[in-house]
Amino acid sequence: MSSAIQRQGDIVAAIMLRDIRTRFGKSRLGYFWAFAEPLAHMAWISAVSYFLARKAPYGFSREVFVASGLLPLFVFIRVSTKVTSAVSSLSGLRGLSIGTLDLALARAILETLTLIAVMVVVFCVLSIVMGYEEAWPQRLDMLIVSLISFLFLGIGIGFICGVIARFFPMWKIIWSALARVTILLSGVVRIIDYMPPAVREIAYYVPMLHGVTLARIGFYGDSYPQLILDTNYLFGFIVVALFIGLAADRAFRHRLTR
Amino acid sequence: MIEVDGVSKFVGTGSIRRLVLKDVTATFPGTGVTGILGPRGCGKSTLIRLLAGVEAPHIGSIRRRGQVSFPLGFGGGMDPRMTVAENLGFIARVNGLDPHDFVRAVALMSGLESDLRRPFVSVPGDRKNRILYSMSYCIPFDTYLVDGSPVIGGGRFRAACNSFFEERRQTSAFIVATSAPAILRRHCDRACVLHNGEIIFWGGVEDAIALFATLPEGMAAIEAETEEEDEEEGLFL
Repeated sequence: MSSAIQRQGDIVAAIMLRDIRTRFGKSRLGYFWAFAEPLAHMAWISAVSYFLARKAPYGFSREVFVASGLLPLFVFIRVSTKVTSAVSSLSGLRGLSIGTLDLALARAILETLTLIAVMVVVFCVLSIVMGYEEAWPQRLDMLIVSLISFLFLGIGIGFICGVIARFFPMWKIIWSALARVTILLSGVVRIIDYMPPAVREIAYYVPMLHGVTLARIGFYGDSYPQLILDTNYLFGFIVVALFIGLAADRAFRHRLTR
Repeated sequence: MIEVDGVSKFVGTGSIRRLVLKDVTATFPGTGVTGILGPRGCGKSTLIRLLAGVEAPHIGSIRRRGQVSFPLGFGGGMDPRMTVAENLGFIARVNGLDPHDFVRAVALMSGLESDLRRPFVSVPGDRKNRILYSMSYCIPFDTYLVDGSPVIGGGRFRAACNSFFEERRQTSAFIVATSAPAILRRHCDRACVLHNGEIIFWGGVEDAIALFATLPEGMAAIEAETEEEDEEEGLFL
């Protein structure tokens, strides 16, 4: 059993090493995109947020507020889209008898590590260059829980979307847009606790909202408004999504054809 | 050993969807060389991909005992931008082998030490095939799957291929899908005939070829074969 896990670990590591070389290696465009996209989203959200209110929604810095929710959420966005394409298509690596789960895990972990690197750079700039003290996480444990939740949520949703894309290939493109729409529903722009009950009742069911709230507690500490937070709902959602995704992958394996 | 139980497989989608394998049931033994003889388009390649586990059947199940190879010489997993050595290192790690030793073994078998540092995309086609075949033979599988011929090329590489094949068949099983009776005659211990997605015969090599010759597509394949043989021999000389 332990040797089987070891073996799977070796395969996942080998795929990651290869992806680093091919995606981030020869052309620097991979690196550029890894930073550029979340930064572009940060820019427009900060602009919208400025027009909504002159004061930062929480704390002193609008940038820290936006980044502390957006960058962890991006783990979900990137992981779910990467896993969707890994699960939906019969690429060359699959021809080498590499399993769906190995491929999906490798892509998911690499994407998460890349975003952690982006976060380290962004928050170092915010704290050292811009001088915002709150850019240092007060509760690193909560931030890590948030990142791991987004990683597994991304894998679960990615598997489900990947299986859907085996039937409707267009779904891959639709999902990569839809995943980014979740930015608007997850409390990245505004604090959901301060919004009307009607909004709160609906927002509660968006699992990403709970992950974003966890990340904010990671930065601002326990004083961050967290009445809406329900970690049981988040973890339950993740387990169910993973179960449905992996079961659907097995049930519809025959849909993978060249 | 690979057990195929009631397997049906469609290929394509929508109106061009076609049933390529019809309720195939067979047991491929864990030793010796088994040939699958069939005309072009009979479902051989699909069957090999199903046996490899690259694709899954729509109906039925496939059980594999031991490590089963990907189709011999498969190159879809190679990244064109990485060097040959980097690609081989990846293949080694995925299969739990030491990358350094593996690259050396492949270089030795293919005789293409000089191409190791080149990007895979820049290696000419025939040398690519030599690398891919060497790569497959250098991984110790329990069952090797072949779509085409287990021995390719000419001159020294053909000899290397042959000696590897003879060595591996002592301890591992081979399943060779081909439309060329000569390949069957040269390498196989037993054979089945695949026609229109169904296995219509299972037994000795000569009986399989005799039956194959009575099929309309079989005649054409045998006539075309003499020319193909010449081309194949001439490729790497």
